[in-house]
Amino acid sequence: MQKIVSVLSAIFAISAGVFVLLGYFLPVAPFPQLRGLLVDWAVIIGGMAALVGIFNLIAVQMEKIRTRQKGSAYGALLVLALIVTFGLGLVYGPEFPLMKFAVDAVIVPVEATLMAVLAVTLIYASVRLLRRRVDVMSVLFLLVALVTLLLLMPTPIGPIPGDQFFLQVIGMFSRGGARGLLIGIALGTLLTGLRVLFGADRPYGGN
Amino acid sequence: MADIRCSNCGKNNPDFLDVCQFCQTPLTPDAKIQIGEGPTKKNTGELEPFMPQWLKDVRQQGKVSAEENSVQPVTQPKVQKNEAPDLLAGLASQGDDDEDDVPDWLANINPVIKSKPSIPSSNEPANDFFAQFNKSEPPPVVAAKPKVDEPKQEEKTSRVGGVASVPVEKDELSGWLQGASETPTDALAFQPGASADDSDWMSKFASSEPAAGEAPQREEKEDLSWLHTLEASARQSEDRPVSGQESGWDFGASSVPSQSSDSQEDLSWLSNLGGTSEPAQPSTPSASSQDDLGWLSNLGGTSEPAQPSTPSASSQEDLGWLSNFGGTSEPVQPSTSPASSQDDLGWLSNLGGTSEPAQPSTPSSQEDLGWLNEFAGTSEPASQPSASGDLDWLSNLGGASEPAPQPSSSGDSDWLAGLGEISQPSMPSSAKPFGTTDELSLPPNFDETKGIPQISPFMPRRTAPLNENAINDNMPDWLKSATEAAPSLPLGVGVLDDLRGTSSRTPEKVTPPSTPKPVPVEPEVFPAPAESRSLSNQDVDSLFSMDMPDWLSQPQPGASDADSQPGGLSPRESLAPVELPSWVQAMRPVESALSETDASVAQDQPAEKEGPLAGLVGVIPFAPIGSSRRPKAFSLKLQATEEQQAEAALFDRILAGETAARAVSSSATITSQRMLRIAISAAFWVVLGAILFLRSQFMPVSALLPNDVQAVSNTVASIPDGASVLVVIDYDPSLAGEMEAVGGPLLDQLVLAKAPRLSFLSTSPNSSALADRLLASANISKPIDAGGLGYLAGQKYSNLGYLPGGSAGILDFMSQPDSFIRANEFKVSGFSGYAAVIVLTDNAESGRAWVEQLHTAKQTNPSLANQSLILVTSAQAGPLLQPYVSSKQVAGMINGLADAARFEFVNNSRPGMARSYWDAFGIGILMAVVLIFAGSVWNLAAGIRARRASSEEG
Repeated sequence: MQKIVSVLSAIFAISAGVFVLLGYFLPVAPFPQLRGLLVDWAVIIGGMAALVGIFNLIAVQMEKIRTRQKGSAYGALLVLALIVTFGLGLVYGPEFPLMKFAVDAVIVPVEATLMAVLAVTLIYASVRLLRRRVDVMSVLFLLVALVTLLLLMPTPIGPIPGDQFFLQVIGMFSRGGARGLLIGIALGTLLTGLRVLFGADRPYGGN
Repeated sequence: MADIRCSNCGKNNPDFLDVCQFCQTPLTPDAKIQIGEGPTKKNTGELEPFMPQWLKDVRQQGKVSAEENSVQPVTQPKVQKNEAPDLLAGLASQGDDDEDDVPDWLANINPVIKSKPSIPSSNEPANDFFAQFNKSEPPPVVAAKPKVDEPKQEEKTSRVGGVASVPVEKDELSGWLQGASETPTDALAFQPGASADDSDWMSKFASSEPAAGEAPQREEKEDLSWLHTLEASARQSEDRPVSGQESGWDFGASSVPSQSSDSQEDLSWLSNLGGTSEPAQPSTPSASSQDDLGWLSNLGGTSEPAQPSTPSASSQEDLGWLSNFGGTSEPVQPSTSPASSQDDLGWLSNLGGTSEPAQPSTPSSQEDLGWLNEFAGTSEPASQPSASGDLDWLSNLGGASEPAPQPSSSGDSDWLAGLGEISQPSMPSSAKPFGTTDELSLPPNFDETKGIPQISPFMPRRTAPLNENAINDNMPDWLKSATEAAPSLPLGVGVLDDLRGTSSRTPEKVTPPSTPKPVPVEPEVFPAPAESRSLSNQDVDSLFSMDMPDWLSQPQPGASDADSQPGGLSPRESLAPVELPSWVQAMRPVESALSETDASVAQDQPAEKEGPLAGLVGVIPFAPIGSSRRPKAFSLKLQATEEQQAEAALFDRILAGETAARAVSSSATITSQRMLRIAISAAFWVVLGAILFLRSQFMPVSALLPNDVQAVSNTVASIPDGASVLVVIDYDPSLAGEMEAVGGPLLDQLVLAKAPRLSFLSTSPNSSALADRLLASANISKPIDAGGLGYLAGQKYSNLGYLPGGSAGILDFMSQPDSFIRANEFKVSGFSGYAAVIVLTDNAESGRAWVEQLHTAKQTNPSLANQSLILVTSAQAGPLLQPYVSSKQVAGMINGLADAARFEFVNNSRPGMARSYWDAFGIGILMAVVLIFAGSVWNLAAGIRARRASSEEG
């Protein structure tokens, strides 16, 4: 049975990928429509996966509350906020003002704070870098970071003379590196898609 | 000059002599050779002139025979070297391999089968000593008989006489021998009359000593001392009554093993002595007789049981050390090989100096005794039905006192059977001189059918006296010459050694064999000829006792005491195996058996102390042979050096260290790091908070726009008024502050300049809720009265929500945008209905998807060619999307707060968000640079200091 399920899973996954791919390159009916339908199904499946994840989160936190573990109060608050937000969203939708307020008052400041903490952590790591590792790459990394910050930094006296030149020089390296990353990402994506299409990789299970 | 008194003869000798010049007894202890010692070769070349004439003749005859053999090599097939699996086979085999070690003089004496030409005996010289043994006087009837009836006998050659049983020979003793063996089927019915003459002279072999004087005896000791042993054995049987059959030379009775098992057994040791050990009894070999003389059979090198009617095979395998002793070690081929008989005892034939041709075509069963036939002077043993009884007479020769119980079919050798017997009652107490006719004559009324008690070979035999006729008629020339010749000065052992050495030399001139001169019959048959040297009793004894271990000197358990004990022999005459002359040492089987290369090894080998090999040294090779080699023993204890042990200990410590718990770093370090983080956070919080709170704007903003920013401004300027513009919000709430500050000036400029209808779309779930926030932050959605632009949701802008599916969703939206738009006022006629697409993203992935999909759509949809794509990115996503800007796939891009501040500054500083962050942004970067630099220097110094400290400590 398990083998049959595995085979069927592979068949569905591969056929879906083939149809979506054909919908990209063959704008002939019914491939585009079939592609859209399959993408919608994927979105729904993804949404259900999010719900499953949320359900798992609630179960873990409820277990903490039941066993009265450390931080169970935060768990209770999390579960309560989740239920309220989820209920309001289901009832009123995302355009509901309370929902917007929840985003503006909670999500944005919290995430912005995390970004601030990240900035402090990066500075601290840069400070400690030469304490743990003293080599050419470490020193070079620090020098490039400092120079870039100095060039981007607004000064009271205005822009540093020649800042655009230095930014172009630094931008050359960044652009080169960025292009390399993009090419790598494209190749990786292509190979991953081909492996999935040929059944070499079965992230849906069945291996 | 001091004289040395001989311990043997009591005469004085010069001190420079090693051996007694009278009795040849070693005078110095060094000259004495002990048992087990290897013989030392001596150069005896200077004694060549002293070599007796008979010995020279022997050598010459040997040379002649060798040459003749080379001429007729085909007639003498090569004898196989099949060795019998006996205990002493190794000696024989080694002797075969070490033929070169045999002295040449001995090699010449011994009949080398290869070198024996097939010539008639008439061509042989008769002037030498042993050649006279070869002379045969076959009766006319008997002489022709072997050719017809028993051709096998003809191919047998005797060792002593070196004469094959050739019917044409006219030896002196052949007549009676032929008569004795003329009736093969009735061999046991010994014909005394026929062999009386021949056997009489042989009786002198055993009775020569008593008749001979003391002085002549010692003179003859050197050459024929072994025959004195026979004489001594005869004296031991003086007191015993010997039947007429025993007293007669009943060689034939004992030499026919096929019919008389007892006689075979008695004489089998001598058969082996000659190199053959097979009595070859066709019917039933007697175990008792083998017990009596089996030890001597082994002496011959082989102890094979009797094999009926296969004389050839037996003769091949009987080669023992005595065969090598005789100089020939080649086994004899089976009946097809004519040389089979020569192998056995042919050396004794050559010992007589005559090299009789072998009869290749007539293999006989009497191969083994052929030499004795010739030794007795008869060349042709009569046709014998038995095959291997030829050597039985030598059993008696060795002292066996067995009377031939069976009548024997061994007629031809019966005259020799009693050579060694002693218990003849009719014999006088004192043995008569060898060669006398009385001794050789067989009793006329000899009846072999009578049972004769077996006598041990150790029993001295009383030989029958030779009659006068035998002396006159059948006396060999050599014997006559020996008896006539006056005894010469005794030759020492060294002289004989020299003779031996010189005999190996090739004579310059090969003289034809001269006819033997008649020699007056002496009481002793074996006294040396006139030029021969005297033989001491000790030498005679030593000849046979050389290297003999004790077990050989002692009788078999089955033998009677009377047989085993010397009886009438004095202690001096008894076997004295201790001291041996060097020439005897050279003749020992040890030399022939052991190679020179193994000599040193053999010395190291222990002598056998018990068993049949007792007394022999190096018989059993100490080195392992073949598969018997035992595997090398290995010690089970580990052999490890100190270095290896140290490494093993180090390895143990390493393994132990892996399991040991490591010390946890101190918490003080953690506290300091945490405090540092807190301090950094506090510094930023305080400074930046103060700046933001103060709304300071002391940081100037550059009015110079970068090219990409300038392109954005130009693109906005190109958008038609009131056109639909798609704004994609694809950033997270964490970066909302940055993105709003970056995107606010652009939207403000666009709304102010073109008043487009904005459709907000998000590919991130959280971004859909940020559209209103963005418009509110940029003062776009605020009412005009509040200083805003009065854009209201649903009128001027629309939030299309979240677009799932990533790239597929984007492509799908591009293909059918109306399916995602619920409000009719914001519906467009396809994706081309959007005049521009503005993507606000902090994620390079989402920005890449929009760029790629739109660029692909533009390639397939020409209506999209004029559609502009503007990227508004955060500072961290800008570099990754910069390539698309450089490739002109994107019309322009605003990257980060720095570009936004400039763009805002150009846009009349509207809405001012970038500018409000500009000072805080500058101060924050400055603080970060200072902290990083200061902290890096500090930590670098601290690390160097710590590493120094650690290096100093350890």
